[in-house]
Amino acid sequence: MEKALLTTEHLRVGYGGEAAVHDVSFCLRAGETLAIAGESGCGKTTLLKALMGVGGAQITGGRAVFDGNDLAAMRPNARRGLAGEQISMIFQDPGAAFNPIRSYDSQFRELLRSRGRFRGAASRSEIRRCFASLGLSDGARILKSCPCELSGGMNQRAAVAAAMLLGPRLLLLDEPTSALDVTAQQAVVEELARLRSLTGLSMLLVTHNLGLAAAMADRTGVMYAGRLVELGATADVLERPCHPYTKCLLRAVPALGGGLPQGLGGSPPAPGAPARGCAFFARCPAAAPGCRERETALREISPGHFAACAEGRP
Amino acid sequence: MNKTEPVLEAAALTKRYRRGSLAAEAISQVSFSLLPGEILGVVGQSGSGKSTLLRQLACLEKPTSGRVMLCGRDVTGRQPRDVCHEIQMVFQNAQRSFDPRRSVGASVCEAVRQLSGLSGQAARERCAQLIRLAGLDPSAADAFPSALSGGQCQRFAIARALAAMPKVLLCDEATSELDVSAQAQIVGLLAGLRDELGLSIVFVSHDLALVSTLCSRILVLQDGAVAEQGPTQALVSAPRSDAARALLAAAWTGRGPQFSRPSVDKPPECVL
Repeated sequence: MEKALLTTEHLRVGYGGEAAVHDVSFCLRAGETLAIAGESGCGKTTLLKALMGVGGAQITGGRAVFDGNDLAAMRPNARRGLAGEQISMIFQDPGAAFNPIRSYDSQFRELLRSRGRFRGAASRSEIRRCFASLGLSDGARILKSCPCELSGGMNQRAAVAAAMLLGPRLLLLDEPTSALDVTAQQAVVEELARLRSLTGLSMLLVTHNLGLAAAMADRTGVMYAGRLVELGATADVLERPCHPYTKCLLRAVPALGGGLPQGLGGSPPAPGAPARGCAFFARCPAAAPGCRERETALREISPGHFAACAEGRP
Repeated sequence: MNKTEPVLEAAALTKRYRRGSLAAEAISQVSFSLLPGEILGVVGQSGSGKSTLLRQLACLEKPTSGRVMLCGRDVTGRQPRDVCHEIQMVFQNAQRSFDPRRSVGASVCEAVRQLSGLSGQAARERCAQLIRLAGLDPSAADAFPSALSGGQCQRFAIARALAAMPKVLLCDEATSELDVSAQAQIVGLLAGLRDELGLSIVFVSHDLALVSTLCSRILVLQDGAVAEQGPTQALVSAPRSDAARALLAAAWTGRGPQFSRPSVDKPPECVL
């Protein structure tokens, strides 16, 4: 059996007092890609920040265990060592992840120096190899350029190279393609697929784009108001969705030459919503009178396919 | 105006940017026409000239050559204030298109006062009417842009654009920064406004799947030139240009995986 690389149990994450992630449990196996999909504000980015230990997101309850280490219980130094070398993150806006007016070459060298891993000429060739493994044909030119001189797609591929430079085992991806046009999106996705087959990397992908989840993820989880409402094999979740929210999200995806996509009415609840009952109740097209108080823990609907609500069972 | 007479026409529009001895043609010889109540999709990769084209149409820049005809008059090289009653623009980042230190309602109200000549109570009533037309509750108008979601902000931006009661709305990647649900709502709103007000819309996006759901006709730009234009169904089912084929291949519809994924046949160690 494959080992779990990252496990979260009833994870609760907040900024200061307010919780943005209420109760998230999943496990990510070595070599697996798991997508977490949901609307803006559902807590998916907060989840990634907490795992990476950046942006002030604090684990306030439950556990997140990476390769046997409880992230919340680790000493700050050990945690910093983990972030970057074992766990790496790619952000939505590739331009903002780098200094725009310094060459990639110097920024990559600094990245190695900050970890005490710069070894002169050996490191230079390591950086070049890292670029070559990305399938960037003109790596030498990109290394000499500054981020402000390159397109968004190119910068995002450089960000992938930076994230991979220290050889992490887990890559956290926060909307990696949302700021790019569709053809650049495709290039980045192909890049990530190649990396994955080369290195056996595990990825946790956060996106609102279900098409991206379909293209990249083995399993997909759907998040609403800080909780997972559905989790299963990507094909199960996207083709045989159980939860009414997943169905609503799928109706919002435009189909080539199809009718107008259907948006959800209303807006998601504000952070710090009540901890009990179904948070989707107010917007749910399949809501029944008893739903407001109903228990919303994930249940297994079919083997490996979990949902917090069986009303919309396929 | 005659129903079949175009509200907006571009004839061989070309825009060349110069800096010292360097010159780059951002759009070259772009021609199209837009009928009343029609939604035209403009698609292309980043850098294909989509935004440059819109800036020429809204008279925010002076084209190097070619002509822009708006409601039957030649507006080439005119100032934005000469055309703002007929043509309005909605931008990609709605939040940044508002003054961060004023409530969105105040911004919409100012547009009403500037563009419709109303003042006082009449302007406030018109403002509330526009906000309702954009599918929002006027009570949300007291919020500042930073307190609103991207989708709500974009609705206010559309309300502001409608203050001038324009004939043509130019949407520059108006849904690209929104999540799928908010994107679907905005697209539905635009389709509704077309039906209700007879608005003509130029909808610019890089997402061909999205454009194909909203627009009856699509124009594909590549390197500043028109690679192809035609009815949506024909373009989607039988694209003739490489640019359209590339965009079609990259359009993800969420209906199935386009990339081969390694299959996972081993059972998980833990239940979830």
